Amino acid sequence: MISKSIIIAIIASLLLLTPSASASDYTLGIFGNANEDDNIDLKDVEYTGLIILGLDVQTQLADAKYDDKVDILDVTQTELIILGKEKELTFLDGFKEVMTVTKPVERVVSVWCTNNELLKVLDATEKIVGVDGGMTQKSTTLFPELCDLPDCGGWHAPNFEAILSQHPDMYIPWLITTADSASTYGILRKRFLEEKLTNVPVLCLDNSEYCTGEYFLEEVKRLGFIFDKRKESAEFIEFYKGCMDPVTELTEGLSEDEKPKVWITSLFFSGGEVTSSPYAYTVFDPVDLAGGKNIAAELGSISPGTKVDIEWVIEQNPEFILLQIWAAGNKKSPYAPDYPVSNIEEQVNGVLNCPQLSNVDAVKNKRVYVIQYSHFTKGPARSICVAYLAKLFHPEMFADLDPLAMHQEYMNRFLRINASVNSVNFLYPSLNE
Amino acid sequence: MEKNSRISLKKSTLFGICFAVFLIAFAAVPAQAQQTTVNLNTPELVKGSTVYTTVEIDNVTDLDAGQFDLSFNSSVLKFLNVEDGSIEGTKIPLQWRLIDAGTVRVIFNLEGVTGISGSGQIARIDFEVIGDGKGDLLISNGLLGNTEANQINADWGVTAASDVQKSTPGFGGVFALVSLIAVFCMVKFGRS
Repeated sequence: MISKSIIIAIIASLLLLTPSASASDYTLGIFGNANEDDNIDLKDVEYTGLIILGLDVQTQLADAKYDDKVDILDVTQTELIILGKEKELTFLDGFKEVMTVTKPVERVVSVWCTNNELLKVLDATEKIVGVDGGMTQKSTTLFPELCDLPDCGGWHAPNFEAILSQHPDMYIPWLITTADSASTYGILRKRFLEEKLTNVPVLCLDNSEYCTGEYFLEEVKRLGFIFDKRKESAEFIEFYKGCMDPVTELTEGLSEDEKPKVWITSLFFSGGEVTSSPYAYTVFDPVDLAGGKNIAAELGSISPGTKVDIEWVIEQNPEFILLQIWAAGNKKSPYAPDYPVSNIEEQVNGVLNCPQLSNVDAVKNKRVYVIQYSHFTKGPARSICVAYLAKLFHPEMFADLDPLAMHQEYMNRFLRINASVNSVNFLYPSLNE
Repeated sequence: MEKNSRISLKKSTLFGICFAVFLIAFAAVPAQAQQTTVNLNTPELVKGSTVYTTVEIDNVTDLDAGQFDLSFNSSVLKFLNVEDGSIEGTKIPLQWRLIDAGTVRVIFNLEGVTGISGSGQIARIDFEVIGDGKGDLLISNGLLGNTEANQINADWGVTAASDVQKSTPGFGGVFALVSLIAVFCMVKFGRS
């Protein structure tokens, strides 16, 4: 009888370890996810029991109560998390640092427009009590519900007094997990904010284009648990995959020769003009996913990018040039009906008319595009951005792909904007031209 | 006259304090009665027979999960099985494993997180008595959790059948102690 029970338990543990067909490539970084897959469910309850009985390997995330031991209290805590009844939730933030929040999280100061877009997608903007006076307050089309909230300073210049006066449960700044620790967006910035905002948890989100899709999906799912918006996060993840998967299923099989060479730059760093040492993004996930070849990818692991010699660009002879543009520079979101299109026209024409680049294929074939940074290459719309780029890079392969329809659904369903996708400005010239 | 009145006031104050101590002591006794206790009950060990050891629990509130290790002298007792217990009619579903030749680890987790309150039996552990000597039955690493994933403060009481049962100071003990203090106070301050 003893041996039979042990054999059953061992088989059960092996089954738990076997990845299911729908398994993702990420681990949901919430303590209670004992088997370290992409979800918290009854399998984690069982797995924790097996750990206590010494029948399975102890994992970091099995310690649901985060008290440095795995015991039966972790089983109950995991069940409470599954039921959404937990009083505290411990998780790994964007920097993979352990963070515990008291639930429910009801008052959030969030000062970066793309993070706020993500909260909007999760239908969690009712929890935001303070925003940045820059993009979020000015994005009346995108964030009508946030425009009148108190200005708590921008991402670069927080107004600590204003933040603390809101008595927030959490502060969400703009941080980049891949940035150098000492940079404006790195881990030391988080330390600075924590020092200034004693007793207010500082949550690092990073939905930038430098991060992988797996990281982003994990972040969305994690936010669903933090803000009690699991149904909404699951719906959005399904939509996101519905946009992304049809693209990556085909682009993953492309050889290097089949991928067009792409120079991703921004004229922001050079006063709006192409200079002798323009900028090049070395890491840019949407281009990779869409089946393009980033010409600067081999320049090293500098993230997000570096200045290059214009002669080097000419030598690389990119087939596409993408000019990333900051919506914040215009103080208008690309969803605004009065978005100044003339600004982006000028940028495209500036490159097309640049004498130094006249022999580059992208210029000769007029494949120079302005691409929006905020709300497109980063943030929840990134899967739509990938679809746009795939259609641009491989029009025959993706003849049936309809990125505009995806974008329209995203606007209507997740952003609750009733405008037509043809009236917004995320890629210029548009796919229709 | 004034001096007598002061002494009288002092005495009244001291009596008041003593009375308050009495009240606190009385209030504490029922609270102790609600202490959750876990006891191990083992009948007499007779060589060649099967012995059914039970783990009993009293006065538990909102119990959701628990765990304990039961060690035993494997040269005297041969482990046979663990049977689910029951508290106030609710089954306690157990999982267990022999973590070494003389220790069985038992865990349980009630379905959902509604919890159970009251008294009953957590588990029955069956042994065959195969040798002479002491059974050395001992519960360790005992832990009970409530429906909020917090530890339930419990007295794990008797650990072996042959051990003397642990007990909390009862009403008599508390009464005697408090009375002694009160009399001491009255005598001392009465003289002054």
